[in-house]
Amino acid sequence: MSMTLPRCEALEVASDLIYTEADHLDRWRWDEWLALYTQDCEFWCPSWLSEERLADDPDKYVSFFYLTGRAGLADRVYRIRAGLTPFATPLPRTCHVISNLRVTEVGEGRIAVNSHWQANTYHRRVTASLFGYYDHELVEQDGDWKIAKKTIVLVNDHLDLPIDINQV
Amino acid sequence: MNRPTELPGATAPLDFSRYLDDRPDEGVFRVSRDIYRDERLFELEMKYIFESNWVFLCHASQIPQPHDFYTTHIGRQPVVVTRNARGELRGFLNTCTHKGSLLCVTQAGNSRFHICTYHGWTFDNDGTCVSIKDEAPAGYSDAFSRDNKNLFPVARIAEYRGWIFGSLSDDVPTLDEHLGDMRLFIDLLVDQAPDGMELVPGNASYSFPGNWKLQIENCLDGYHLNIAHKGFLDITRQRIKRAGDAYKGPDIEAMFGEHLMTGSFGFERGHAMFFSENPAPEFRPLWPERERLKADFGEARADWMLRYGRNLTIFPNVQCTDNAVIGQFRVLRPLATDLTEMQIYCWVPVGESAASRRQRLRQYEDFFNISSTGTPDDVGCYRNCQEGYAARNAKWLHGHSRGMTNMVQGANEYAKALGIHPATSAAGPLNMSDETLFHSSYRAWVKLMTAGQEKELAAP
Repeated sequence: MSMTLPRCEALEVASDLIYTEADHLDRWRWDEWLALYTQDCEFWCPSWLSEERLADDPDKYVSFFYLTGRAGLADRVYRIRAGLTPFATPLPRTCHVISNLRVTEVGEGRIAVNSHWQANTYHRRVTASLFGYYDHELVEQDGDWKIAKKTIVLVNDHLDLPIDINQV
Repeated sequence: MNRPTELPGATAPLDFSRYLDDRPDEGVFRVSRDIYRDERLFELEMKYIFESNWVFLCHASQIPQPHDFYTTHIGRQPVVVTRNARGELRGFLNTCTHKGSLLCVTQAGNSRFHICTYHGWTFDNDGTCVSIKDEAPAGYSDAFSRDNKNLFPVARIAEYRGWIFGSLSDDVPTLDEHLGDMRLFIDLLVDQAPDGMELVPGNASYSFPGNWKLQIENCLDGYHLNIAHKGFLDITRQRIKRAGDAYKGPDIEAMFGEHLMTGSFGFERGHAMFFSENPAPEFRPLWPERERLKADFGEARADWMLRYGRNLTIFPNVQCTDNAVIGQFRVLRPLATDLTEMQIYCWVPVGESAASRRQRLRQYEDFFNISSTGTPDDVGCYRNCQEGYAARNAKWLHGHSRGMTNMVQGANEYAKALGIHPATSAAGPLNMSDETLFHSSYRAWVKLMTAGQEKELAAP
């Protein structure tokens, strides 16, 4: 039976999960990263419609990522791990820095949390730094907290390098 | 950055034909690696190809209304495409005539007037300078008053079925002549949608560390598919397996069957197209409309829309694909010998169903976007090529010889059936992976570079 956590406990749960996610990605612990998501998760990174307007509907506008279900994320992981991408060979190193973490909503068995991120990629002597905001929706499933939805706003959207799910 | 070392002095005219080893009678066509790595050639390409020739500017769906504007570049030069009060297309260098400031600073917008952010000089969408702030007390001379302060116009601007092109030089053929038989292939795209086609909003732009001609070639290169994109193909097979009985798509192995018929055409002005037989056209979103297409455009054209995937390059800067559920539109802008900027779009029928739009978007994000499981690998290969070109002791490539014995000069049976007149035609099985379709682009390159240089040397 899920319950509504006090805000300070929700913040602890949320920050632990979100920092753990970043650490798994940066240390290439792909299976552990996948396990943080619910089976029917949503992973969305919208595009910008203009300099000042962000897309608000993945079914009307282009997205950088709109992946649904853990299997959709697993496809990406398969490709990265199998070394089947000329772009990401050798595998780029990444380092996520996450800050400004705020719990925006606490409900029964769910937490909404907003944070700001910077994802640094170092690949073949080239450094790229992308940044933006995350909105995570976390849900409690069988006593564990999982990511049900992650929305990624990419602020600097003109890309000097292609990106995959671990670079934002 | 690669620095050139082997070019002659800056003033000596270049013999551009030496960058091709083009001996059709002996079955030889080789391209020199210098054209992808030489900085001086890059400068001349900008002058003689991009800034002296028709280039693609934008799609009509990006500036549908009077007073809409869209900013882009022709070669190195910033331009703005506008619609005036009557909805007519205009094009100008995007620079204020006062101090030279960029005039329109956003990607696109709608504005009756363009007011310079620096001193407020104001221009309308016909490029007319309608206001000079504090003109009366300025103490301007008569000579100043007589001078033309209007925006510098783009010499030619024209549209073919929503594709808007411009040229900084007046000395070009008409756009219809420039596009030639490529118009047929644009028709095959545009005619699919009764209400026309549009670009889905949502910026996807990126740069890659490679020469622009790598992109020109790759769009029509069938040979790299199951090597560079093995990851994508594996994922696709896994998804089908995972879906089990719920999978309702075509047989993936049949889609890449070695017996499938493919072919290509190269055209005199550098354009080229590649086609390949689709063994399962009934899975295309267009399939239910085949009776309408047959009635409106005849059986042959309807067949070409439905039964062949088509990739087009309109030289030198726009490409379109129509080979899966979706179409993709790519506009390229060379920035340096080893740096190219891309604007890419998902291109869809106006007013299609929500389900169809969703399906197209997901496929576009899956393969074409710069965050997809397809395009990043092309970009990785461009980077690897550009880094490989640093091997300056290696001069020639062996990348333009596949299909040599399948190719004919002029029209083959496919071209004759379509009533078109390509410079070269090739046909053969899928794993022929023709490379002769690039010959016309490189021959056009030599021709444009040579003509540009001659014109410049002859100028007083």
